[in-house]
Amino acid sequence: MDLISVIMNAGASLSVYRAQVATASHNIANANTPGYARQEAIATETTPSSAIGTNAYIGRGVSLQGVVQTRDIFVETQINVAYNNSASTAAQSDALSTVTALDPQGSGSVTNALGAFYSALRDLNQNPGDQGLRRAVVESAKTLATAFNTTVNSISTARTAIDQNLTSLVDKVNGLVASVADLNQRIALAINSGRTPNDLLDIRQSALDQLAQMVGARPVPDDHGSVNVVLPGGTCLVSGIVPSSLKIQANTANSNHVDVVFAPQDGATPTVLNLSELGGQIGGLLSARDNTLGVAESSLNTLAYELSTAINQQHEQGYALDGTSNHDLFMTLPGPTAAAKNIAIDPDVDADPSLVAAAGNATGGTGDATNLQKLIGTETLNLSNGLNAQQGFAKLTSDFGIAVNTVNDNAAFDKNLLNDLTSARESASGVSTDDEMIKLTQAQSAYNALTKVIVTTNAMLDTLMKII
Amino acid sequence: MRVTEKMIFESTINQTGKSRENLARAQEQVASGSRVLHPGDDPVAASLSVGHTVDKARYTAIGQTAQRAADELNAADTALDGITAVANRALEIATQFGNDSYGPTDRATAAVEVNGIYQQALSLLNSTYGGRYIFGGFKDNAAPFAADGSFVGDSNTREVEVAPGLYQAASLNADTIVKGGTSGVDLLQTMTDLSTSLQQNDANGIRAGLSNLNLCINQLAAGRTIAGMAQDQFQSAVSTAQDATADEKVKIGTLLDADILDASTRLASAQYALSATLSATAKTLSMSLADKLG
Repeated sequence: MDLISVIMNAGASLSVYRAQVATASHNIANANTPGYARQEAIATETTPSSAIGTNAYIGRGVSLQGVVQTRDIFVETQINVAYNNSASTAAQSDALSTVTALDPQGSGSVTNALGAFYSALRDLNQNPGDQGLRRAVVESAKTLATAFNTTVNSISTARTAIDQNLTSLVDKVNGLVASVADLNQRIALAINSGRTPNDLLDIRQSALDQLAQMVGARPVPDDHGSVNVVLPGGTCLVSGIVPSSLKIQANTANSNHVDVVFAPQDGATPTVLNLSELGGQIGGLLSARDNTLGVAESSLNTLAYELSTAINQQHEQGYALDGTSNHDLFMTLPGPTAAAKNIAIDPDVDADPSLVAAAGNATGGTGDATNLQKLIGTETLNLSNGLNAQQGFAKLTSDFGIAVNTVNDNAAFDKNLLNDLTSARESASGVSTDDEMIKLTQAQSAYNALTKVIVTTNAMLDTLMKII
Repeated sequence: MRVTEKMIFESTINQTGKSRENLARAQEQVASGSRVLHPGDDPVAASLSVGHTVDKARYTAIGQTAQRAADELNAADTALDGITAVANRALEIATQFGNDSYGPTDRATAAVEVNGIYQQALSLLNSTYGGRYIFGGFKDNAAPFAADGSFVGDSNTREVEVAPGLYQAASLNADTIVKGGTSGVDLLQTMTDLSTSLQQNDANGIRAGLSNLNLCINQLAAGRTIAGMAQDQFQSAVSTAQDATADEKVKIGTLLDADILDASTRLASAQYALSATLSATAKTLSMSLADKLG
């Protein structure tokens, strides 16, 4: 081996350390980038070629084998599911915690209004001819109607707010789906031309993480470097380089709340995705909207309808101060649909409280409270669910409370699990600046030493030249 | 385990977030005095509190109406007391002027007094309480006794709740107590008859009224007994309802109120935990090899 070759080999080896410094620098720069996996410049001995004498090989230094990503596939698979679950339960928990209409100590609650209404009936029962007490009954009936109105309004407002959230989430999902399809194409191209597109893989991983969070999608890699994206129900959002999309569509059967619809790329008929086919934030929000809040809203509607109907039926049988009967206390509702929203005091009774049907017969006299006692009896009347109004509202509150409580617990558990997995992933793939500083210093020392080799070999060459 | 700076940052964010959440929650409980602010905080307590809140309103209303019924019965009793005094005076007059030693002039003078106390009885029978005629039965918006002593009220008894769903008579039947009903004696008619007998100087007629007046006084006494018993029942209903209201209040408090001592302790410990988390974070974040390398 000649001295010139030594200089050449040392020079070639320098490039490996330059690559290591560059990789460390890239790692440090991306230390906080979401989805970034630490890269490593792998050095390997250069194949020796020249032999001196018969049995000695002189090495030719070091060369760069490649720059690879460090990922733990075991953790990566689990983290996708954790992202889906955690985003789903957190979205439900956030959406449900904002509904304050059923708070036990809320002012203007149905509970208080129910108590006040029957108290006013009792007051009137003691002196049914008193106009002031009659007015109090009418006002307390109005308050009861208003309590139903505001409670259901708070619930339906929360459901509408969820619709708006869904609309913006679906837009984001479509953007990510398109970007995954595009990245699939670029990554496949790079891999087919023999390169490893580490940074493109990172960007795609970050998009896949977000898709798991938003809609619970899971990645299904193929053999060519592409990743298909599949919804929990099996619907394929991205197939290789072909993206499909999601759409929002109002559902008239569900008070115009929106459905999430799958629109295939090939223009085939869009299909409505039901709750079990979606996950992540979108699935969580749909579950909060249609399960927990939907059930609360319809229970409240049923309660408002059945209670007002029962009170009206009894009220119609009584007689007003002027001896007339068949008056309603609340406006007649056609059915449970939107009953809590539409419940209101009958305008005739509101205008003239003497129409409150206290008496048991037409000529009963102003002191007759026979029908009032029966009206007070509706307090303990069992409605269609076998519970009276007070028990019905208590059940509605506990059903809602239990759902929120369960979701909150699940959200806390899922968040902890996700934190653990994120830590595990970070431990495997994350950048430690300390590590990188050490690697930088290590590469720097090697680089310095190699330059010394060049200087020394050069001096040897000079010495040789001087002899000549 | 390999630990990176990002892990430290993220766990810092999680831990301070948790500490702050605990702190906010403890603060909210101390400030509001409530343990259950949302049904999700304690579904069972939230649900039970609905029943207790309605029950509390119910017992409060029963207590108030029972008190009003007792007050009204008290007014009725006072009126009956006055009417009994009138009946006793009529009895005295009948006893005195039934004696044959009195002549037509004396008896005519006595008849004037009887007419006077008759009017007094009539006015007591038409007493109102809170604007309603207490002896009118259901017809409580007009005077139940006409000037000629006829009863124009009805025989219905007004009822007020003493316990949920349990009603107790809260008015007296004047047609039985005063008018004698089907088998008793009519006080007003007896007094009119007495007055007529006195005017006509009919000694036998005057004496005949004596037994009827005694019967009337007994009838009135029976009426007052009924009023007294009903009043007692309402008074005991008032105190039962007040106890029940207080009891429901305690139950609601137990379910929903925060234990202030416990909440304050948790507030202090949450503050301490947050402060410790922040100090530990500050120390961890200040350690990096980059700072040490020259």
